[in-house]
Amino acid sequence: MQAIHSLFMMDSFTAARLPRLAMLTCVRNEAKWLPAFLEYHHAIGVERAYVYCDRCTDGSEAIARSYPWVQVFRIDAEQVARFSYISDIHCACMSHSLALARQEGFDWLMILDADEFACGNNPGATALDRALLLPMLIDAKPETVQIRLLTREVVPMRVPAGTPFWQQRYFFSPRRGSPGTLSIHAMISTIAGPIFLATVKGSRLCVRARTCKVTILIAGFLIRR
Amino acid sequence: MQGYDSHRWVPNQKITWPQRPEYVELPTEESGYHRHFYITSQSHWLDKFRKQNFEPNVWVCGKDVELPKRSWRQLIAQMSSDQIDGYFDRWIARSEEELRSFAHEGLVEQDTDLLEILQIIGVATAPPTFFPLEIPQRNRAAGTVVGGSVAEIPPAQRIGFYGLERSGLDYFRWTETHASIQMRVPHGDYRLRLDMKHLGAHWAGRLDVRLNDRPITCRDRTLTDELLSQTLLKEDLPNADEFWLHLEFDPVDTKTWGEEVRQLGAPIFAVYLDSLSG
Repeated sequence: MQAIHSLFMMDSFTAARLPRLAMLTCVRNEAKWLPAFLEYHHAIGVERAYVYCDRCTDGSEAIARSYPWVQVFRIDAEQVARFSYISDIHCACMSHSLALARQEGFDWLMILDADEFACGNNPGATALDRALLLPMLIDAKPETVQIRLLTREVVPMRVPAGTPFWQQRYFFSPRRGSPGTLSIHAMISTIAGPIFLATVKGSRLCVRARTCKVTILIAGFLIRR
Repeated sequence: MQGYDSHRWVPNQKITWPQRPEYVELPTEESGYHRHFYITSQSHWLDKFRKQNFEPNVWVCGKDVELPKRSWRQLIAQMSSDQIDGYFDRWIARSEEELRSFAHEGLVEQDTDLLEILQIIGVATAPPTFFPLEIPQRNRAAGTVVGGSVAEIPPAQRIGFYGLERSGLDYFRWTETHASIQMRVPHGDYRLRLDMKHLGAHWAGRLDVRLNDRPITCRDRTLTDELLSQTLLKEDLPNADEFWLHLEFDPVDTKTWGEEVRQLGAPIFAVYLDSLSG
């Protein structure tokens, strides 16, 4: 519990200047990921999560609703059928949550998938101190509109069936200053033989919520609470 | 500002779907990371690419979807369960020995920070610990106290607790009206203490305790210093050292709480068990 207390200490002494952080995620049957995903991000500084449940049938929605700091929105099959690409749905959710974040006075909004776990880059004695996001946001330059969180891509390890994902502990680390999209084909093909992982976008973004004007991309796109 | 795709934002161009805005880079800096668990097991791989199978093979921007991704979708859609059984182990994952050697060469990094944090907040367990209510037989003495924050009780050892919340400096979980915690203690007399802190005022005033399926007589019940406590005697305890503590509460009246839709039992910050006999 020592590490948790250090988080609280930081909160209590610097609360006056701490930025407020919200995040959004669009999930489709991610019940296995959601508890760890939500509790982890709450512990490192996320105050509000907007969770968009896309045709979930595995209890994801109930899990998300069990956290009072999470706002849950349901997307049904009829709404999804209007789009060819999942990214169009995501764009609508992004704009919707940006509007909400602004209404609620959040300074920053971060978008993540449920299998992605953000972390800061702080010096610190404990894993929790190193991962806290608010110190990173405090240090952002005034002119910065978004912060790119580079990807540490898991390199899968053979594990017995049923092993939780958190037992995977080997990662590729990106280089600072690399382009937004980082192809890891070459790196993986070097070490893993002919089979390699798909290209992965090299970053996730955390944007300033307060200084933006919002466009709701899709007129009439209903996202139900 | 408006969304450009699942990953990117662009300045607001007042372009609405089905039209798409131009990609214009926003003032950006790099800081921090995110760990991406793209594929972690055979079942994860199957789930992921089954879900993606309905998507076109060309991205919105006109580029082909990358080959492993595309071929995995087809593979999962077309091959039988037997044929794809073991695919992850054979073609995607590497042995820990190999990965350790890659780490030694600087090709990959071993990174356990996430695991450590998930352990701190009680999501991941670090076997073989059994937390929080375990008293080793050899160390048992009157006055021994075990227990701790509900944040540290792993999911496998608790039932009927809602997600972790924070009040001031402390973590707590609301229980449902029925909640259970697994315990491992030798026979003896104990004092059970539930720490509800200042939120104890919301408790509806009833607690029934059972150990496994046996109802326990309410002995010496007190609510002082934000701790709800009662005595458990050795005749109350099941024969086995390992058993479940079941707690049953009346629902908290949340009608005036606005958006609260959960049925709440009690706000538990910590659970303690004090040994009264050596």
